[in-house]
Amino acid sequence: MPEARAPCRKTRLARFPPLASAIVQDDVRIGAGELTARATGLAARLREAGCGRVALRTDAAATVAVGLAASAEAGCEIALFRGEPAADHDLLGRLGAGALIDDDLALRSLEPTGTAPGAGFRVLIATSGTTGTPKLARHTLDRLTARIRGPAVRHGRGRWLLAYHPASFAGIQVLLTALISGDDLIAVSDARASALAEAALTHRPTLASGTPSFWRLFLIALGDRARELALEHITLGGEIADQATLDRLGCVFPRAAVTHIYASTEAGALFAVKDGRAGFPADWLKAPVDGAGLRIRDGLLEVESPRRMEGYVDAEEGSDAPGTGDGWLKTGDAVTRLGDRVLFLGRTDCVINVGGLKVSPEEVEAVLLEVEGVADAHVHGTKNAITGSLVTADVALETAQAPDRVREALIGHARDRLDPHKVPRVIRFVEAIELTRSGKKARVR
Amino acid sequence: MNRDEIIAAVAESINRILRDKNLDPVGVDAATVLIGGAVAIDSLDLATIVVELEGTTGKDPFAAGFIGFSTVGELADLYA
Repeated sequence: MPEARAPCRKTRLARFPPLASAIVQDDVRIGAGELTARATGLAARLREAGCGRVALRTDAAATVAVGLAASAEAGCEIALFRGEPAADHDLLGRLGAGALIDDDLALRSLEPTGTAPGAGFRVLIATSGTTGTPKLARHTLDRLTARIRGPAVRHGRGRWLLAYHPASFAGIQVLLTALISGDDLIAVSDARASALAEAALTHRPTLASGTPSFWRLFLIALGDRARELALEHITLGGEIADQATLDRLGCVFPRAAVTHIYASTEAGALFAVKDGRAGFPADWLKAPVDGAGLRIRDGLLEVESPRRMEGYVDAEEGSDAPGTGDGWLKTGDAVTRLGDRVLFLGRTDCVINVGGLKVSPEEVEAVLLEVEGVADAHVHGTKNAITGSLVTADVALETAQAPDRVREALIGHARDRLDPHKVPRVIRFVEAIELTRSGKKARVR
Repeated sequence: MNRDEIIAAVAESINRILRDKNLDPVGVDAATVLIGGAVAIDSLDLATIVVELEGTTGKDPFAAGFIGFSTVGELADLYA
């Protein structure tokens, strides 16, 4: 007879949760004892090295779990970076970390040796850099875990499928939720929907979290086998959760509770909508929900978050998220009130949201302009049903050239310089880039 | 465009995407599985194919929300 879990309760953590879960990383099960031993060993090396701040670069959730636990034990700051080489390279260089932790958990000294003192255990999470250079948001453990409930009432140990990158804010939320709840975690370093579908069919998760774009792709990849999964809890975040996707998940997984979450790296986890409907109840504008205040100003959602970051790490980049001057944060999300509901309409800035990953058009344009023969480029998003948006580039050439050859050069260069989701997938050649009356490129707002 | 023409357009898109990745072209028919099958395309590639189909056919079968599909034939049916 499986043991019933303790009733759901809210948890405030003074200490990092014990590594009492198992993590199935790339089909290899790493038990709680092994995770704990790895964390203890890494903590000893961190203390010996005397680092106030370390960096961890990995695509593996198990390595993130060990890195977080070890840094908490050693009392140092840990900055999390994705494993791919193009990402966050400049950010790592500016960090002033004493050492870099690799996938094998070895400490590698950084040159020049970092001198940042650190502020005790904190988690530094890279933002998407949509408002300029990517930054690191500093979070305390208390704020990261403040919305996480303890073990839910259910039979047996749950198994989470992690569909976010483990170094992202959402990925850390899922990881911490699994650790606090004593659930196991299933993760793959190659986080394509097809790989996650394979992992799900092999390891049978009972809970899963990902962006709406992930869920749509996941259903395509699973095909008829989707109904083999006995999911009990589904969460969506990082993008607008549209009604059609919510309905389809409810239809394919009728036993699952479907929740969509509103959160950001800067503002933290804000609220969860559990009624199966898109948007959130308009009543939530009247009083704080889970301690978070919500209001609409000029059609935009603003939030007052008790779980917001402490600030950006590099003060030169600006010490706080875009605010309103009265303690509220601007989210950049356009909303409309419709009856008893507030519905999300999309971004009001020029940010392109590709399956939950944000892309700054200016960053992509700068890379395209490096290609010989390109006179100008205008990068924008094209809506689609699979990934929400897709990066599209309108390109004007200096002289008449063979489009196929230029297209090949543009894609090759962009692939070398940009993360995969930032590489333009649709390239159109135009005579000239259309400018507004003020002489700027027309940004979609 | 009829169903066969749409399948041919999808095949052309898939093989152009594979060429961009320096991969060999593949045979594509109605039964070809789009994600998780033998063809090495990812979510962004599939999104690209959908955007191109919308441009070619002038139709947006997903305007009212996401519709499930798994194979090239099932995708073509949405645009035929």
